[in-house]
Order: sequence, then C-alpha cells, then structure tokens
Amino acid sequence: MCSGSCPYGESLDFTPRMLVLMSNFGEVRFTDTIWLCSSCYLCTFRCPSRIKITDEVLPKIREIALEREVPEELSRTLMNIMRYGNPFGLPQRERVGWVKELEFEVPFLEDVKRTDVLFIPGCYGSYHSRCREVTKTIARLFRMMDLDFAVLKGERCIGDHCRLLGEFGLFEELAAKNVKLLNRYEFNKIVTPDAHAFNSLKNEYPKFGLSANVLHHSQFFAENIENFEFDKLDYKVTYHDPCFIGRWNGDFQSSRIILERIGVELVEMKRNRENALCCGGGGGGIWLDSLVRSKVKERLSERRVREAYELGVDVIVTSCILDIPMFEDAIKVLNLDVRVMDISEIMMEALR
Amino acid sequence: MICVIVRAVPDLVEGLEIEERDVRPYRYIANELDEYAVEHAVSLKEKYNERVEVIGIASEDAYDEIDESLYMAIAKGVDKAYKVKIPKTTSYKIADALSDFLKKFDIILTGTLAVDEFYGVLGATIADKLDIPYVGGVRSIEIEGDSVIVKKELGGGAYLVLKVKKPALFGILSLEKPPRYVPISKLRSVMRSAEIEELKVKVEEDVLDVRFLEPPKPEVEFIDGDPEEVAEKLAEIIRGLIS
Repeated sequence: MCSGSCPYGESLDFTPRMLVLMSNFGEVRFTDTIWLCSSCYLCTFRCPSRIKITDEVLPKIREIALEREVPEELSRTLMNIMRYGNPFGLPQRERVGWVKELEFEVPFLEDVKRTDVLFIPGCYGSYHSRCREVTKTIARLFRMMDLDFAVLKGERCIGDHCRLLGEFGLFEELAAKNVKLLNRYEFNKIVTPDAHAFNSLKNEYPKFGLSANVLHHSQFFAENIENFEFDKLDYKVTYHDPCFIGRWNGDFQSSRIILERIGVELVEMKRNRENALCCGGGGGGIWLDSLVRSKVKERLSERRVREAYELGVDVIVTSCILDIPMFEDAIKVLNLDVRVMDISEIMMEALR
Repeated sequence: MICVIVRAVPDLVEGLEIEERDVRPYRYIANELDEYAVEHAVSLKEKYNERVEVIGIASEDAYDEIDESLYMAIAKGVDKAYKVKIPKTTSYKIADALSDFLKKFDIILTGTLAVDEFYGVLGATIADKLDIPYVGGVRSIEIEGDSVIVKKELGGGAYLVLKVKKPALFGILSLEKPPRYVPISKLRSVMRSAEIEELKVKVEEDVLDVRFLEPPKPEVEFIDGDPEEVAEKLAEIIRGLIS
C-alpha cells in the first residue's frame, strides 16, 4: 500500500515498504533518494498496520544519513537554521521587517506582554518576498476585524522540516527556545499560515511544555467568517489540500467554507481531500530542488499545477504558505496561465 | 602533523555597527575559508591518518564565539583544539606571536583570505616568519612522502599543480566537495566531552611591521535619485573617464 501510494515511488531506490523492512532487520542501505520524501503522509495515512513511516521510520534513517553525506543545499540550509534561526541565512532582526511595509502598526508581544491572538508567520511568511505578501494580507484582515493581535521579534524557525529531515537535535533545540519564549507571555491563541509550523506547534510542541490553542489561519478565518462581507467573485477556482492541514490534521473544510462564502465556483481536482497530491515542499523538499530535479522526471508541484490547469480554473487556492512558491515556480517552468492565491488573498480580493 | 588556523571574523549576515572610529560587529563567526581549511585537514586525516590540530584566533570580544566552530571541527574529526586571544592587530604581529607554537607542524592550513583581511597576507607572513614555503589559492591537497602536491587556482578554470616540500603553509580557497554536516546532537555531545586548550602568547608591540603601502582613499560621492537619474549621472561620469 505504502509503496504504491508514494508519489515519488518510481524514482526511489528503496520504496517505503523496503525501508520499513530494512529498518526491521536493522540493515539499512543508504541512497540519496531518501531525501526525496516530501512528508506527504500518503503512505502513513493508508498503512493498514499504522506504521509511522513519515514521522518515524524515514526521519530515523535520515538521522543516520545526516552523519554520512548530506546534499550541499541541505547542509547549508540546516547550518543557516542552526546559526541564524531561519533557512535563508538572513538576520533575525529582518524577521519582522514586513511590519514596516504595512500602513498601520503591529505591536510586538515582547513589548505589550499580552494579546488575544499571537500571529506566527513562520520563516517563509517572514522572509520570503512572495510569502510576505500573504503575511501582510493576513495582518490586514486581522486589522479589519479589529483584532487584538501581536507578533514576536524573537520567533525562530519552528523546525518541523528539521524533525522530518531527521535533525532531531536541532528540532529539539529550536522547540525548547521557542517554547521558553512563548511561555513568557500571555495570549489566548496562536494563528499561523504555515502548515508545518501549525503541525509542530499543535502536535509536537506540547511535548516541550507548550499548552496553547493553535489555529491555522484558514481555521481562524472560517470561524470568524461572519465578520466579513464579501462581494461575489466571478472566478473558477480549485482548492489544493495541504498535506499538513488535510491529511495529517484532518481539516478539509475550513478553506472550503470560506470559498463557499465568497461565492466562487469551486471545482475539485481528481485527487482531493485525503487523496490530495503533495506540492513537494514538505520534509525539506523545498530546499532540495536540485536533488529532486536530478532524480525525477516531473516535480510534484508541476504535476499538481497541471492537474489544476486541466480543469480550466483561473486560480489555484491553497492555504499552506509553502505551496505558493512551489506552485508559482512550477507554473513558470510549465509556462501555464493560472494564478496561485492563498485563501487569505482571495478573501481580500473579494472584499474590495 | 597538520595545524589549521581558524580566525574569528565579523558575521556579515548579522551586520555591523559603524561608529566614527570603529566598526563593531553584532556577532562573530569563524572565517568561511578557514572552515574550508578544516575540511581539507579532516580529509587528509581520513586519507593519510595524519594528526590534525586546530588553533582558533580571536580578539577579546570574539573569544567565546569562536568555541562553536572549534567544537564543530572536533566533531568533524580534528584531534585537538586550541584557542588564543590576540587583540585586533596586523598580520605581521599575529605571525610573530604564533610562530613558536606553529613550529612543530609540517603542514599548516588556513584560509587564503578572511572577510576582514582581504589582502590575504596572514598565511604568507606566517610562512615567512617560519621560513617555510607558502602557496595560496589552494583547492586540493595530497601528501606524497615528504612532499605535498597541491592544486592552486589561477582563475578562469585554469590551475597549477605544485609539489612542495614539507614543512609548508597553504592558503585554502575552495573545496572539492561540500562541507560535512555536523548534526546538532553530535555537536552538543562534543561540547560536553571535549576541551579547548587555551594558549597564551605574547603579542610584541615593538615588532616592526612590514611597510604597508596603502593608496590614498578616493573621494566618495553618493548619487541620489530614482534609477533613471542615477544611471544618467553614472553614465556621464563614466563617459568622462573614458574620453
């Protein structure tokens, strides 16, 4: 089941099933295709024996591989996270640089000490130029709701990719630092647009002492949808279920509730909800493009935008911040004419 | 026996605070090319079973920050790490202070240049002080009996192969394969078990510096305006220069 499900199955030297068997017998053979797994959870989700392939088997094999040979792009990225707390190797003080690009002020939790909603944009939402637009859009929507929210200057990489890549030591250190920071302040809930950050904050950080109500931004906006009056948008859209929101955290509805409310025409891709195809960015995939390109005929992101494009849609809507650069790059590669929007961006467009 | 010299340099990612007479970095890290030198040394250890030691040089304010990189070197396979506090000074004085310690090694490696030392003279100055050969711009090293065979980059894809008698000092410029990755759990366990030995050296104030001819600083002019205006003004200046 797992090997048949793996979207990169045909490119792997050892399929998920082989990896499970090898780890059972304690004789793992290493190949660089172990870095292809983008943590889409299809294998784990469908496994009749409920073996935690994505969360445990593969990261443990990767943990040993990290001490042998690591692809250069990955070792640089992990060093950046270790040194600077973000994968881009940019300074910490730049993390909240997007705040200055807004037409209003966003308070820092370090200054105000308490807030209703703590907004955690994550590394992509803070540093990546396209993803920062999403972050700003979300902040503007919060502002329209008159929401009491704040951001953290000292937030560091949440570390979900590090965990999935088998860099457990780094993940634990990041989690401990972040939890220590978070526990210093008072807030009612955490909202994040980063599906990976959401997953770790919700499912992994409690092990490090965080007890917080963590919401993905799509869930937060779906809950508060009554606050917005939308104009009907004349778009034909499809929705891409992010692996870490849908398959792994069981939320297929929030974004669809918002889209229904906006009144766009929603058409589903053949592979939707729990069968959705991954964008290829998870589990460190977003940092391993050269390796992935050398191993596979067509990237997952390219397959996914092709699937969406064939439906004749104007917009691919997603709610995971990593999908945006993944899909936009794939669209450039394939030279297609379709837009990619975060759920918050299509909300904003319907408000104008 | 191999020794690698690792310098603490300003971390340009975190930026600098520029004051009237001083430039103060927010943070220090190991010089990137010196870390490449560690990679080469560890490869030599794996290939020829050579003992490798590393010495970290840092000024007062970078003295603690150099530790991480020295522990990282130990985690990669270096046998022993030293560190020494040397105030910000000229390469000639550093060479003078370190020469006694470096005498016992037959291969010494360091980065060809550092982000705060673009002239790339530290390696050559130490070699001169020890009276041993120096080759900079090195990208690969092999040992053959009592000689070392190095490839020196010449630019434009060309390189020079040199056979150098030991002892000798090499300035590293690049790597042939990506640097090793040290998982943080391994780094932390090295930090708990290994020790960095602190060395004391005397930095002589009255050592004669090599005469250093620095050209006079040119007048700096800032061109303001939108890109088109700036381009226009810039083109005018260039026209003036070439006519």
